[in-house]
This record gives sequence, structure tokens and C-alpha cells, in this order.
Amino acid sequence: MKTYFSILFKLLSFILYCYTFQSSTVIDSCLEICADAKCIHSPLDSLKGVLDEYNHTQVLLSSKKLDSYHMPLPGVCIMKALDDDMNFNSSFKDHINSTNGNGVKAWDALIAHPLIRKDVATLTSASKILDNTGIVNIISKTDLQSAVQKLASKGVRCRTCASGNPFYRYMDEILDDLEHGATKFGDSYKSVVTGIKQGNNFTEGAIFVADAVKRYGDDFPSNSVFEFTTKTTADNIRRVDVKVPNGFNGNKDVFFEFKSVLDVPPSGFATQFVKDMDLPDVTDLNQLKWWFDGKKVNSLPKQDFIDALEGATISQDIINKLVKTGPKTKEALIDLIDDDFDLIFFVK
Amino acid sequence: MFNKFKNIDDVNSCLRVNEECVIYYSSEYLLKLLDSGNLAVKFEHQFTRDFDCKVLKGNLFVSVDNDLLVLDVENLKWEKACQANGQYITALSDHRFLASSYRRKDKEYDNSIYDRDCNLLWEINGEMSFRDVYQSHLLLSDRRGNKIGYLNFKDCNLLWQRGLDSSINGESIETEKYIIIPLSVGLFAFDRQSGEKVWSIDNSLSHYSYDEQKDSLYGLISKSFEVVDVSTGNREVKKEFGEDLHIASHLTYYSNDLLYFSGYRDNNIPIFGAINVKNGNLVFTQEVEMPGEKSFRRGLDRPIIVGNRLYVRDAMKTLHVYEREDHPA
Repeated sequence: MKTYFSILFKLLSFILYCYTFQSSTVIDSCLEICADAKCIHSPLDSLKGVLDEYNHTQVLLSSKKLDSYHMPLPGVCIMKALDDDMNFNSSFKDHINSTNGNGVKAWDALIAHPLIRKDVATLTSASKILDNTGIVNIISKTDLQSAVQKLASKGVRCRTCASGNPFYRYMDEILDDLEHGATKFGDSYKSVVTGIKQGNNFTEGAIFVADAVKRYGDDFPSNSVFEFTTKTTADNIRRVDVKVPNGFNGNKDVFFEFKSVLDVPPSGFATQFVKDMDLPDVTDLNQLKWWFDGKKVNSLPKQDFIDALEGATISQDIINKLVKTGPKTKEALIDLIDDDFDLIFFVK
Repeated sequence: MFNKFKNIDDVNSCLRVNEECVIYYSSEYLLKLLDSGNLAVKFEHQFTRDFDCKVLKGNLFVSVDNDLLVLDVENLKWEKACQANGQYITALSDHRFLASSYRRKDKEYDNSIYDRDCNLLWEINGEMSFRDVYQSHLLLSDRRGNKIGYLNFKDCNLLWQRGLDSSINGESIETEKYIIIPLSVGLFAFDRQSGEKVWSIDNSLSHYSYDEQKDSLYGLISKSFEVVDVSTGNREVKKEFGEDLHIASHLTYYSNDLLYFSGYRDNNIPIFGAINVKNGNLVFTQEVEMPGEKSFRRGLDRPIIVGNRLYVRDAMKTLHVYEREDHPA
């Protein structure tokens, strides 16, 4: 018993010392003590009250914190990683120390990414997602981790990351888009998160959707419907689709197609556009909007789009419903598309 | 409610349903005429390309570019009705045909009306062409739907022309007294004889179904149903209902006090259903089973109700045929 109190006293003294000086070495030492304190692992529970009393949130050694992050003693090595990261820069350290545990929660979520997890901007954006209880069913911690992993593998950089693909917006900006979209659009926005988590081109397409619906927020009211599909009825791949109910003239749905591609018209364009025109809800060409990623294309070669449609099979039903006046011919329909090209196809 | 009677695949285009037959053609341009009772194939004819078709007084008129063919549905025999000088020909009635061309460079039209023997009766060239076809009249409009004309095609008399406050935004309806046209700024009624505006209402839909007996228009969109008195232009009923339905106003069909519709429940579950036009109550909704994942891009065409059957085609071009539960065949 005497030995126990002696160890306890030493430990407390040392932790208070850590709290006072907070040097990396000291914290490291604290951690080592904890790690070495296997012998007092069980009695550590009795330390909780003492540690809480001293509110050691900054050094995150309290068993309360350890428990809340599901990091009992095996988690000490994670805490050591945090301690190591504390040396990265003062911004990171200040962020961790000033966010009352939320920064650590975000840091922990990004633990798999040694550079990204030290980026304050990304941590802040990740915290916005993790702390927003209203969107936990749309983008969970696991979703966030998966999204960051896919984004990182695409080369999305954090602000303090030395490497990455400068073509993409920063990681924090994309995470902010996701938080904004999930908050505004609700459950339907899961499709965008799913798209991001798919990886490869799916991720790229979803990044563009998330960005566009935020930048052009007025075009996308909160009742907009998002959908992630891997195949269409034509068996050509689609990504995230967006429908804005009654978005045209207040009484017709608008169907958005987002394309983040280098080649325009994209492969399969004509087939896909004919399918769009064939949608039962569509009675007017202006219900179709194709948005191309302005980071990849500067302009759209109108004649190439028209030529592609000239070569496509367009059913009489489609022609009958869209050509309102005069002969119901394919030529008349394509002329309408030609005229309305700038109302249908956009670079954003 | 309805029970599934049959599915017919590859109903690609030109679906026409009446008491006698079901007509369509496949993706391979095979025209099929089915017996409306057992839906057995009665007649087939292979075409080599897309075409337009129309059933008028027991005849099926088929427009293949500027050739108009006619099939006597009872005797199942073809005859050539008319060949016109133009890009396109269509039957306005069993005694009047209209040929038209669109000059893309000028953005103008050439229109000609022919009689049953393919004799030219009337011509008009310029910015106007046919838009909607009624019993004995045509609504003409310019390409953008900002100007209209009203033509009696029986005697080829152009009754009036006029400009519009905004462009046409839907399908017009001819009633006993009026032409009712959805514009982008509202619903407008014009006197059939003079072309003068009679009434207009704001915040209207792009499509209404007309009940000739009650002289009323029924409009339905998503969760809102309304009735417009044609004689006054007053909205008599505007009712909201709580179900999470998404319905486009043109995907509706009026029959016997019920306004049938197709649409989605919960954004992507394809359904059809009906509203009781007397009280605006939702009578039923019924899911249409389709293979594959659900999507707001995999919806249904407008339902068609003939007798005790409901016909509705899905995005995969499968025609779903249902029979009313309480009225078995």
C-alpha cells in the first residue's frame, strides 16, 4: 500500500510538472511513465479524479480523455504520435491546446495521414464535420476517414503539405464543401459522400459536384436531390446526379449532369444526352443542364457536340415531345439544341 | 388498386392504346398491333427506320418522312395515303393531312394542307407552323412560342393571329369556347372566335387535364392539386397532401372523376396513383416493380387508362399492364 501511494505520488508530481512546462520531452516522459506504469494500470482508474481535478486536457493524459478516445494504455503510442506532432509547429500545438479536445478528435480521425493530420486548416474542417451532430448520419467519422484517404490518394493537398497535386483545391476546402452540402441538403447528399469515397474518377466527379453546388448555391435549393449511380439504363457509367425539383419556370424539374473531364464532348456524350432527353419528366430542353469543370476545360466546342448528336439515334417520341412547333424531325430538334446550347451546356 | 396483368418489353415508341388495340414499335422498328383483350399480336410490319404514328377513326396513320401510310386496323391492310413535298407529313384528321418543312437557315416553315386524296388545299410559309392539333383546328405558333394563330383545317381558314405575353410553356387545351394556353407567366384563356384574352391566372402549371363535362381543368404537381373553372378562370380547389410524392404535371391522365398520375414516392420509388377530382383526396398509390437500382432517372411515362386497364411504360421501355382489382377482365 505504501509502495502504491509512493508511485501515485511520483506520477502525479510528474504530470503536474508536465502540465507546467509542457515541453515535448516532458510530455514524452509523462507518456513513458504512463506506458511504464503497467503495474499501476488498474489503480490508474483511481487517478481519474485527481487528473480531472487538475484538468489536464492539454496534455491529454487524463484517463477520461484516454477513455473518450478509446485509448487505454495501448493508445499511449497514439498519444506519443500526438506529442511528436506537437513539435511540428506552434500553430498545430496551439490548435490542439485551444480546441478543448475537438482538435484531437479530428487529429485522431486523420491519424493515418502524418502530414494532413498536422494541418490546422484540415483539422479545423474535419472538426466542423465531426462536431456537427446534424450530419453524423450523412458523413460519419468513418466516412470522413475514407474520404480523406481517397482524396489524398488523388493527390489532394493540405495547406502545409509539401507535396500533392496543385490542380486540386486544398483538402480543407473540399471538406468544407462536404460539411456545407451535408448540412444544406441532408440525407440526399450521402450520394456525394459515396462518390468521394469511391476513389479514382468517381472521387474527381464528386469533388466537382460538391464544389459546384456550394459555389452556385442559389441554383440548388435545399430540396435538391442527389443520387449516386454506377450505371444508367444505357449501361454507361454515371456518377453523381442532381435533380432540382421544379427548378425550371417553377414547375418543371431540372436535371444536372456534372462532368469533370478533359475531353469534350466526353465519350458517350450523345448516348447519355439522348437518355436525358428521354426522361419522362423532361418536356423542355432547358430542363437539362450539363456543367463542365472549368478547371479542366475552358470552352466547349459547340459544333462537336452537335455533330455527335447528328450521328446519334433519337427516337420519334423524344422528337415529338421536344419539338413543339413544326415538323417533328431530328433536324428540327438538333437545331433547337444548337440554338439553346448556351442554356444547356456550361463551363463552371 | 390494380393487379399486374402483363409486361410487354421493348415498347420503344409510338405507343397508342384504345379499346380495340395496343400499337407500338420496337427498338428494331417492328410495328406491332396487339389485341387489346389478350394482348396477343394481331399484326406486325417491319419498318427500316423511326416513324411517327397516329390512330384516327379506326385507321393507323404512319408518317415516314414525307410519306403518309394508312393501315386499316380492322382489315389490316396498308395503303399509301399521301406523299408530300416536304420533310414531314402528318394526319390532322382522317380527311386532312399536313405537310411541313423547316428551313434551318432561315428558321422558317413551309406548311401545306392536303385532303384525303392528297390534293393541295392550302399553303402558308413563314415563321409559324403547327403546334397542337385539335378536333378541327390547329394551333399555330412561331418557333419560340411567342406568337400564335388559330386555323380551321377543315375549311383552311386562319381565324386569327396574336402575340403572347410570354412564351408557351406547356400543352394547350381547346374547350368549347376557349383556347387555354400555359405560358411561362401563367395560364391564359383566349376566345376561340376572336383570339382575345378572356382570363389568366398566375402560378399555374404547364399541364392541365380537361374535363369536358364539368368544363374544368385539373392540375397536379408533387403535393398539390388544383381545379380551375374554365368559364371564369377561378381556382376552385387548391389542395395540398402530405405524402412524399413527386409528380410532374404532364404525367397525368383524367378518367371518370379520377386524375391518374405517375411519379415517385420518396424521390426514387416509381409509382402510379390517382386523385379524386371531386375532393382532391389521394385515392391510392401503387409501386411499379422494376428490376435494378432505383433512381430518379428510372421513372414512368404518363399512365393511360382504357376500360379497366392501366398502361404505364417505364424508362426501360417495358409496358406494364394492370387491371383494376374490382373489375377483372
